[in-house]
Amino acid sequence: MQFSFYRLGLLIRRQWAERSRLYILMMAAIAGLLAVAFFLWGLTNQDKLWMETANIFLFVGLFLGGTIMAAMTFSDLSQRTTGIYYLSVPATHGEKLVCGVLYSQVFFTAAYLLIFYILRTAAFAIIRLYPHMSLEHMPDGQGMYEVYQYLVIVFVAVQTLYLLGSVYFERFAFVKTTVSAVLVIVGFVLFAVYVIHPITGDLHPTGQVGVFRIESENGSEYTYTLPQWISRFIWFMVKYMWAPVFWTAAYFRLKEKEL
Amino acid sequence: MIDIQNLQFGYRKGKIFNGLSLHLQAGHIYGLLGKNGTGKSTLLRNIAGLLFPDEGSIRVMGKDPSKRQPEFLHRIFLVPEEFYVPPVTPAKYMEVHAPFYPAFNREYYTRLLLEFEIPLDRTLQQMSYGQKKKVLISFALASGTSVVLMDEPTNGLDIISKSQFRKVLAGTADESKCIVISTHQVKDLENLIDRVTIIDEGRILFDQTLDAIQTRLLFKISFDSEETRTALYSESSLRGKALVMANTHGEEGKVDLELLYKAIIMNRPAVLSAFPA
Repeated sequence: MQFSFYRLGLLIRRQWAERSRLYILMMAAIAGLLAVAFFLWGLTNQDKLWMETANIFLFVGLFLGGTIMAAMTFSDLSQRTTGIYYLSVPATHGEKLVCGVLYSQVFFTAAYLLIFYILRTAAFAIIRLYPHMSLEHMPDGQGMYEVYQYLVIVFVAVQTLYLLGSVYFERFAFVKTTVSAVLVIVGFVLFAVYVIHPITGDLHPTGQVGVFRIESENGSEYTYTLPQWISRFIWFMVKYMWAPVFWTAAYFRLKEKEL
Repeated sequence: MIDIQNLQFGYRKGKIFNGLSLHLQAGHIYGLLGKNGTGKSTLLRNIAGLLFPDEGSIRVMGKDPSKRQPEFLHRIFLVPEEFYVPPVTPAKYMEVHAPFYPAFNREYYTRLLLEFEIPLDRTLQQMSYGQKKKVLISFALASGTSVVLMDEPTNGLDIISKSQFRKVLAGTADESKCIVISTHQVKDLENLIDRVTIIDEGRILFDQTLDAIQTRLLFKISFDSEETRTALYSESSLRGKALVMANTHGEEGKVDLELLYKAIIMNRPAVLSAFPA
């Protein structure tokens, strides 16, 4: 695959020239919704406010806005006219994919975080103006950072799934991707319950990756542990494999797209 | 330049091409004629790499269009019948799209816009269908691509614009370019194309240069019943019988594309008999 950063730059410039108004409107709408959320948060909490609860808005907005944006990445392919326009641009499919990823996953996230933190800083500053209100960290707030880490990993995976959905589904990509994801998850759960569980029998997962517990018939309990490198590998794959897999699938789908 | 061998292509509803072969060369303006739904647009989209052959092969400038490589895409431009234009001015459109085409001629693009009397201060989406199409045609011709494909380019153009289009296209054609124009409005291509290819139901019915047609066929209006009887094709008109005859005496005449087209559709074997096998 030949990749040219010059052409990527041209694609980025072209997309900005043609869609900047849409993006600005979208970010303005997000900023408005976040401002309303912060306002209601301050209004409904009369005295003590936990700073960490503001991060609920961060992630709700990030997941909603991010998935909507990702589902629009290849919306040009939903119609023949726009699809011909898009596919005829002299750039490789890889460059077009990277341009889409940059706009929907990198630039969006950066712009969203910037807006969020500006609004949060402003909201905290306003709250501090009222002497009867206090802003404090949650007592166990440090533990939240591990949760945030996982949320970020899940966000990247989910957003990439919606990006893949935008190249697979010609219409209503957001809805169809959501329905497909739900069906896959339900299917996996049913598979685990009705197929995997009868096979593995008394083998139970523990909280740790690669560690299983078996209860024998006489009541004793055994713990089986996979080699550490296998456990680490499995955990690494579970955390990070989704986005590269979905990007690769999107690339091949883009290559085989006909209009 | 464009080499199509044994092209097989179909949609779910049915087969469009069943073994179509065609060779198009640089330095010509090809008129691809045919009824609506005969596969003209499908053929152009196959050549442009937007559809992939089920079987057979297409090579354009030695490349496989279905790979859609940049070095292929920057040497071919398709003006589709129905198209999208972004909400930018013609100047901005050039600014963001021209760098993708190494041989793009900015001065020529600007000159064509002026010639087509395009309102330069409006965005493309604020323009009429005809104006949008003229901007796209201007861009296609200024792009410097070796292959220009136009699908029904005169649809939506007024009489003056059609005349401008013919003039502009004639001025753009050169030895390095292969221009393929698909249309069912045969009259619009008169005095423009130098090779006529008629397709119907996915097969080539007729493929001849205009010189060969002029040498082999004669188009005339006649009241002579003997001429009408020996004509390869005839039809009544207000001025008499419009005839397509074998040009056995080497007479010079103008090709009536519409009459030729009807003659091929109605009586192809007779018309083909005038050409050497």
